[in-house]
Amino acid sequence: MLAELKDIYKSYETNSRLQGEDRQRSLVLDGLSLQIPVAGSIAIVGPSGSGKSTLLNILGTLDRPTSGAVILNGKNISDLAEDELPTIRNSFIGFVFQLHHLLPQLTLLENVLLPVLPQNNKLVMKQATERAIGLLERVGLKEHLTRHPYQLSVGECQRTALVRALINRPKLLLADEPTGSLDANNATLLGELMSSLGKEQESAVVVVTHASELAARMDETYRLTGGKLNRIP
Amino acid sequence: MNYWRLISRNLAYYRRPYLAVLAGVVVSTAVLTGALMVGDSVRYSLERMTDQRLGKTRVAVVPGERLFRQMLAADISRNAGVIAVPILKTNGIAVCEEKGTRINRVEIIGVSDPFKELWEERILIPGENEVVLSQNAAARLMVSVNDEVLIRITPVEKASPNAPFVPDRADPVALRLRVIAIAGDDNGGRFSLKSEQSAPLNFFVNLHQLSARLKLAGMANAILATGNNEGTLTPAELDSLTGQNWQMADAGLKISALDQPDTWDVTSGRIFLSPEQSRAIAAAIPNATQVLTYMVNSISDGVLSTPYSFVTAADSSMLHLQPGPREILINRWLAGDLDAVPGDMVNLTYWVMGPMRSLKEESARFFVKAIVPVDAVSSGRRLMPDFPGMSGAGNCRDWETGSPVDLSRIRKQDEDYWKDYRGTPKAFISLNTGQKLWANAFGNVTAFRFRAAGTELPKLSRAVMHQLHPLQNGLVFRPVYEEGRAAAGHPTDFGQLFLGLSFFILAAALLLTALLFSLHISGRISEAGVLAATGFSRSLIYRLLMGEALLVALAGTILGALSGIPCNALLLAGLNTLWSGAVQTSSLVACIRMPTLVTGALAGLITAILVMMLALRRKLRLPIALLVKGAHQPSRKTGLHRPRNIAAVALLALGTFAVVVTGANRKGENSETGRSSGTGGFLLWAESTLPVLKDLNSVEGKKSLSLEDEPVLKGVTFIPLQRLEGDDASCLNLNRVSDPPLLAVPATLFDSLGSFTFNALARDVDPAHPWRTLTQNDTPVVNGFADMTVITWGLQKQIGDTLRYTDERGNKVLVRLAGGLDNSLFQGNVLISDVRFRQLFPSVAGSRLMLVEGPAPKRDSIASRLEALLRDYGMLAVPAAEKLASFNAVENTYLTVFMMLGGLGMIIGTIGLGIILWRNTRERMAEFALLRALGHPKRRIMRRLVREYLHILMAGTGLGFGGALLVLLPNFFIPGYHFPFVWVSAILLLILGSGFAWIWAAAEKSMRREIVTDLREE
Repeated sequence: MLAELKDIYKSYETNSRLQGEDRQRSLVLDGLSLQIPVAGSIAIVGPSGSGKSTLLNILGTLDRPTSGAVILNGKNISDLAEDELPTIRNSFIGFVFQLHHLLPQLTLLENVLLPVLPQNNKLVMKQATERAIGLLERVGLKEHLTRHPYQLSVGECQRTALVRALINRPKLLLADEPTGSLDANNATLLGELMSSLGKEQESAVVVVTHASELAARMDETYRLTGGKLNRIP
Repeated sequence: MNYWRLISRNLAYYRRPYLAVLAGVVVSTAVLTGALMVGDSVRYSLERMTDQRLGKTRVAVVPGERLFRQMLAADISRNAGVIAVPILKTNGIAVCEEKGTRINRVEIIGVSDPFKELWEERILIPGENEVVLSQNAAARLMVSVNDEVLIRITPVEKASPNAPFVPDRADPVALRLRVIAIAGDDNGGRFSLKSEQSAPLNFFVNLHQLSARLKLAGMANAILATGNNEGTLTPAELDSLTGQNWQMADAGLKISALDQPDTWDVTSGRIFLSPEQSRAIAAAIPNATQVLTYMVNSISDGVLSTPYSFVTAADSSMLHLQPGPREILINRWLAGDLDAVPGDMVNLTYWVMGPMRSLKEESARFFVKAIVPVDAVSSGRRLMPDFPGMSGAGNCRDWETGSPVDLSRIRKQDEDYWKDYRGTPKAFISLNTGQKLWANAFGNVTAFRFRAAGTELPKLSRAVMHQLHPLQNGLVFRPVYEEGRAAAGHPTDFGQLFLGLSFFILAAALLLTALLFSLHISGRISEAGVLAATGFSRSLIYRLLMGEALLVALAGTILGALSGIPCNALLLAGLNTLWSGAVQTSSLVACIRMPTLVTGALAGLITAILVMMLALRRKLRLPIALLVKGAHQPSRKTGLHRPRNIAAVALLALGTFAVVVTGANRKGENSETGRSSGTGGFLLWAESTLPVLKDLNSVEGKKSLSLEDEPVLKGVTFIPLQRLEGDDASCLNLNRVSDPPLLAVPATLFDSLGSFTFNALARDVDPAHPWRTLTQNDTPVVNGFADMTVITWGLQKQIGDTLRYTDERGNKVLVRLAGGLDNSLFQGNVLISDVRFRQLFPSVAGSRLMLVEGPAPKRDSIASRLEALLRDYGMLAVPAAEKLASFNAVENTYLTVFMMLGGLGMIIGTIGLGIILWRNTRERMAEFALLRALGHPKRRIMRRLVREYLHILMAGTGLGFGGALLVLLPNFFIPGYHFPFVWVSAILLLILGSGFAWIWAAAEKSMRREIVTDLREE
């Protein structure tokens, strides 16, 4: 397995003093487990507030579970120190968010190369630049390398964000409602690209979405309700 | 792509918010640098003033109680290879009758041609009946070139008026002079030997005319000298040269021929030869005979009495018949007058002089051992010392003896004796007995007599002078320039002071920097989240953002340090004009020093970086998942229920409170009148230009100044305070002072009254009776007190530390600072007991300073009557509370500065309030968008928002101001307290106005956003 979630619990402290009650804990993930095969693709669907993004954040090491184990590439990362996680995120995981979150001050190419910076290696950067140009060409943006995000459409920006997520050849691509802010055409295009590029790059893809079309492109689909995952056949 | 490119792209893209941050850094750095530069500027200005007041003078014999030949300067000049210039310095009163103006306590300086060699710039030396004035003196007197001024000059005398039989000081000499020039600061106008920054009121007159009019032709009381070409000549070397070149006249001594051939006497212009002089003469001329001649009030045998006679005490070498301790030889004339024969007992009555020329009549009884001829001693009439008021008198009725003479007692035969024999002694006693009876602080010998060939005299003179040290005669060179530069180089630290005074601006600018940076980072939180999600560690993100901050701060600090220059100029302009009361000068000039600019820039950089680090650290603490969402924690709380708003109110309230309560907490002039207060409970502080020689509490003293019939002075007591001049160590002097004036105070009286309060005492001082410490005469060091502020700031010393003085005879005296007074009207002086003072400085005659006690309701009439009656003495009598308040004025000026700068800080702070409210508004955008979507007009929402925020502004300033008024309430009941209503109102209005403008701007900006954007973001 590329990645595995084992018995994950996640609860948040809520402040209910306004109602005259003491602090309470709200359980979001309730002993959830999930296995992600190498180069596989999984869609997670579920109602708003069901904990889909929380699940994705835990898997992407952006958040920690209250209990349970997160195993990436055979290694339990739940107990790793905070300063060990950035390297894992940088080399192993790629993120696509609902909003593209491209930096307006940078060109498309620079935005794509941003995840290469922490490696602080000129040669790697040079190779990554060539690869970035290739990937941007692959998503139809070669003509816009030196443009800034505010000069492009939302769909183009989101495709750039996808390239940014793939630039370091991550084994795991995580996407949180990637088509949530796109129109139908752009959503379809992004879904296709995500699916095909994931396969080309041999990256496993986990996507949280409300979009059934996007979910259908994935190998497996799970529904998150009541803090537990149920596979949809 | 690399980090530098990322940072440069960020800086370029976010230039507008970063410009705002930069502005905050510029302000804080400018304030820091400006304040530090004020310190430099004050130091530089004082050093410049030292150059201006001394010109090329490096060392000087400062004016004291002694006189010497003007030619001594020329002798030193010739032998030392320096320019040495004699001057005769005194003080007086100046009047311009035409303009109706008058100034007390002006400096009158007799100068001759060599004086101009002490200045780089050309200066005019006044001729006969001419005067050159300093600029400020001309301005005060409202005179210009060719105008006529009248100066009344305090006499300088050879003999101290404290010595027995010296007549009351001669009337002031008046000179009517034409103004020929007004000397600027660089033309000697600032000439002064005191390390003080306040410009002296100088009147330069012709040295020869001044010395002649004071009957001191050829004499001077100060020497100014340049350094030699190599700059290696030390004051000690000059003292040594003085020792080699000085003559008997420089020590006030004179050798005169007596009637018999080869017979001489040595006498002193000061009547009594000092013990050091006596020892020197005895050592240099072994065969010299000591003589002490004294005037007695009466010699009587119980029935008959002879008034006012001279009696000489001498030993057997002069009197062939030596009287025993209780024996007396009387001359034939006296024997006839008293009908006395050997074996009879006679009684001598005579005056003994006490403090302030108070006289006490004492007596001694002797058996007549023998009757001797009137001319028993050769040159008998020369035994009478050269009493200034007697020697030239044609008859007894013309005597001016300085002691009361009952003219009705003088008979015809007494006048005949005076005509025939002048001051020839009528009786002789043994030297030992005479010295026991009549020795005083000035000596116990009035002459030495010796035999020598005329050709030996130069050799003997040199031998005498060789035995004496110039220091013992007040002839000592002081490194005045070095002392002045040292005093100017370590002045009150204005840099530190203005850093404190600018605290609010600094705090506001730093708060603004932090808020602006924080606001900027808030807008880039999701960027940080994305960077974290793509593998940037928090520390890397932190370093990248701090890299941007560092570059902005660096640019800000460079600009800020440069802006410190105009900031410093502005503060100096304030100190030279509006706040000149604090610095007592309007001559402060800017000084730009690179190290200070760098220090200011570095301090600005460090503080800016620190506040931005703190702001950033807080922002980046959020979980990454929240960072990605750009998470503000939306709060539904509004107005004063919101913690951030409560913090804003609290900051506003604290700031307003601190500014108003500090700035308005001034000391009223009449607030302190009790015994334990800084006035000691005394009514008036009276200062005169000419010293008052007698005790005005005595009938004799009152009579001498025609005060005896003044009804308004009934029940008024005068407490004279003698003073040894020095550099003012009060807060009015910015220099670090090393020799403050010594003030002789009646410690026993203060002890019995319980006057004044002490801030700190040395361990060995009895806290119940601290003043008694000053009366201890058995201590090797002299105990002294000073105001604690003077000890700490003016002298930069601590309790228990000592100050070095040189007494009148050239001995080193250590004054131990045994206690520090709370703020008192003695600020600037070191207090020692009057008894000790008179022992150390017996020649200091009279007092120019008095405390006056009397009925409080008559305070003003007593003051004005004293001033009118003693107008010729230059008397100025001010209420003691007012005198104390003049020191408070400095403090009050600083409080005004603090309030003004604090107010400015608060106004800058309101920009911060605007930012806080803008952030609040941003977090509530969706709420406003919803209201707008529901049809609420934009203007109404904005008004609601402005109203809500105005509550915060009003609550903050209102609470602060109200609290300050409560604290200040007791002050309003103190008479004379002045609430700075205009300043406080102006500052409050400006704070409210500025606050309102920023609130309006924040609300206006928020209303410009698109509804859809806000709703979508929600």
